[in-house]
Amino acid sequence: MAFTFFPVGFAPSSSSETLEDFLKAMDAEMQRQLEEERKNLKKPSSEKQPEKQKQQNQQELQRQEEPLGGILGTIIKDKKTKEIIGALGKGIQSLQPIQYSEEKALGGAIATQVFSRFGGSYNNKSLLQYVNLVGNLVAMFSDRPNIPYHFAILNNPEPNAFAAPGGYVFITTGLLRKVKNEAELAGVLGHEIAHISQKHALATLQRSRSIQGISELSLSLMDKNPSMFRNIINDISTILFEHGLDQNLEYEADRVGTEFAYRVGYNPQGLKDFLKTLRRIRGKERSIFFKTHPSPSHRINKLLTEVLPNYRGIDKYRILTSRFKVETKGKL
Amino acid sequence: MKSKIRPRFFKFSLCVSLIFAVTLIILLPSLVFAATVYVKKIKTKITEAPSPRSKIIAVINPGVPLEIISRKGKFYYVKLPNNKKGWIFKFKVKTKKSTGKDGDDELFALLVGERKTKADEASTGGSIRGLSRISERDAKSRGIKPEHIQSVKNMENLQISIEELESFQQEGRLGEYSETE
Repeated sequence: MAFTFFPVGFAPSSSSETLEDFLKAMDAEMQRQLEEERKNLKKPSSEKQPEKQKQQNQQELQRQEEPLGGILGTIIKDKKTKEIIGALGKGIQSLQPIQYSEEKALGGAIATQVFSRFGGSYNNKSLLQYVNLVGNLVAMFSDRPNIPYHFAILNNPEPNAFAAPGGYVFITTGLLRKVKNEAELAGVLGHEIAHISQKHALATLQRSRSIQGISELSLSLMDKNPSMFRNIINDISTILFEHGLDQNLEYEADRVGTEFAYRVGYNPQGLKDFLKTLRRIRGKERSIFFKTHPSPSHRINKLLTEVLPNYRGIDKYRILTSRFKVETKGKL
Repeated sequence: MKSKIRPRFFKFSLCVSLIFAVTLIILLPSLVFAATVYVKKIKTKITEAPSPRSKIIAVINPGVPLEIISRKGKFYYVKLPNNKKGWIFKFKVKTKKSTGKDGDDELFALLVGERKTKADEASTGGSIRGLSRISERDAKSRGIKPEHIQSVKNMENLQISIEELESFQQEGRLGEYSETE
């Protein structure tokens, strides 16, 4: 499953639980303060304390949502990846932030290539509806819920998935056949949506030669310069279909995608479980996925050691094996 | 003499301390929880009770500050700028207000009806909805088959309604309908 995702985006909450963790900490802090007051009634705390506490709370909430905060901040150590992601936050000094309509023009052109290169569309109406329901639900709880997301199934036996800027997500029939339940599907789609919400492909593109010297990638510029647009699309295609994104962007998409699925209420182990299936078939089945992504073992290890320990009580979260089987039975 | 003053002083101190403690207990939660958050998605519903089935008391867009008063399960009790109070699912909010510099401000303005499609977009074939003319021209120049171009258009035409998503969540006990805390 080639998660050749194309993300475009901003920062998700850095940890598995954002406000909830924070408020639990506040509960504990409040209890501690009350205990202190009970023990020390003659020395009440300063009247300024609540206001100070309020400011600290706000700062803590904001810190938790920093793009490179929390887990990711510790994961990304290499200079190249820091530059790519750092450029996103700054909007890239040399290039003005790309607006959605420009992003969509790029993604639309890539989408036509995806259909052309990877077997074309698989037209099972009810299966398509089901994938779109799961995908749109995960996207609704992403950090970029206001753009339209579109999900398509590719008639291709190799397990793979792709994301193109502008909200286009693709999943192959080969991948769907390997998925065991809805939580796994949500994890896979969450990974792709994370690439889009984090604008990974656009950030990577901004380092390419085709974009050098351009200060604003506007629609009128794209329209007036078909050859320039063609070169940009060539660069994006090379990144997605041949080289893959930077490995740490893939790890980030795993972390963020897991978080998106969790917010919906899916068991956050879905993506990890699906990667285990991929690990088993690696070497037995062909897919460009294995060339464009870090090994499933490394990704599983990252999830197990750096992401999943942040989620508590996950056994209560939904896996939905029965619904997945009903929705896919006889359709693949 | 001492024995009379000390009990009085003690009672007075105790009384003041109790009043202070009670006041603190009443006020502290609201002060401590008073974090400002913003909804992520346009047309987000605020409900009367911590349940998606509850009566809707307001529909708001990103940018409106909400003060968290308290929490129950996965819902926050919030105060709106007009002092109305209601409940919102916690994963529908974020702490940072949109800056308008993330590339989505143009789309956001269109979605909330603040402006119509810009002239540049109309004249150049860019589009918020539907396959861009620029994308289609590029695909044709590469010899991509019409059926694959049509597949992208079909992909964009498949719309999922809010009602369908609500029903799907409810059936799967997901999102606001989940039973997890």
